[in-house]
Amino acid sequence: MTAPDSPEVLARFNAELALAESIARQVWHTLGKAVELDDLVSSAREGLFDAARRFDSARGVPFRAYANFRVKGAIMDGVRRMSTIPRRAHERIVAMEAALAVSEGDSQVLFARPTQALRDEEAEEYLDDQLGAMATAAAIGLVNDALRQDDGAEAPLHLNPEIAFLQAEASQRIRLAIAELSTAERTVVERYYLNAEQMDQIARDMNVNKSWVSRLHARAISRLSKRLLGEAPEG
Amino acid sequence: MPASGSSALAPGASRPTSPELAKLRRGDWTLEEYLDDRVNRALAKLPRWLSSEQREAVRDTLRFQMATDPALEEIVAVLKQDRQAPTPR
Repeated sequence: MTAPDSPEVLARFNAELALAESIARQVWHTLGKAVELDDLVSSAREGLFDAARRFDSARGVPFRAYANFRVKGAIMDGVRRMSTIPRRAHERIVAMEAALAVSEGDSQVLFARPTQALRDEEAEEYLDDQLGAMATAAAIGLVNDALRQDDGAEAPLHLNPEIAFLQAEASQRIRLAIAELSTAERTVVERYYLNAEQMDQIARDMNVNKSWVSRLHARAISRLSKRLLGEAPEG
Repeated sequence: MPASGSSALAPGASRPTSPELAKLRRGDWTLEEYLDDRVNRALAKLPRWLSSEQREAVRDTLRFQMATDPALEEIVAVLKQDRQAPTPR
């Protein structure tokens, strides 16, 4: 028999229920309403309960932010479990998952410093860097997903021949850029993007916690972003 | 740039405030226009190997993140010069 949840867990759950439902609605819109809203809300609530139970304030991330990541992750897992979803919605899930991984990895860095102490130019630089890193992660995820889905075919079936050629070429460039990462970063990125493995599984296999893998992923994407967008890689 | 994250938060290394932020501050642009501009800038840097559908998926993702990401929410509060505490996170 499972022990009942503590009053603290229930309080955390109730405090952010509106947030969870709001995120579910945002995902629903982003997916073009291609799935049932009720299914997304149900996954969001499950993710919130899981967050309320697992939350550890010592990690330095406020509960609202922690719950935000867990809720999004639960919604995306739920959508992935659905038997069929339109390609357009599938692409958005792939892109959102990659962006979420970047955001989650960076959250501890941001929350370690009061944002109100940031100068304007620092805040703007952070925003641009985050958007660039999320865009890069989403793009890598989409290219590898397209090539994986059509593995063995001469060209991905849903892409026109020119784009299919460019993506195959891009995949090679991505692999070369990944090869220049540190061993640990390379392991995470290859397994996440090329093998489509989940961060939890990668962390278990590497015998480290998931937040460490997330930070490693965020750092690797920063390097790849600079490399693939044509800027000088950082040292 | 900090070793443990992908974004610039290190004190000291800074750049001038952008003309776009100045427009926001003067009231020439709404916050929505300013944020759209930052998303478009990020998209413009992407290589040409994305299909238009994939590019649209990235755009929707960045907008989704802008609307829901707790870290970006904090940053946007700073850029709005809303120096009051943002929504509890």
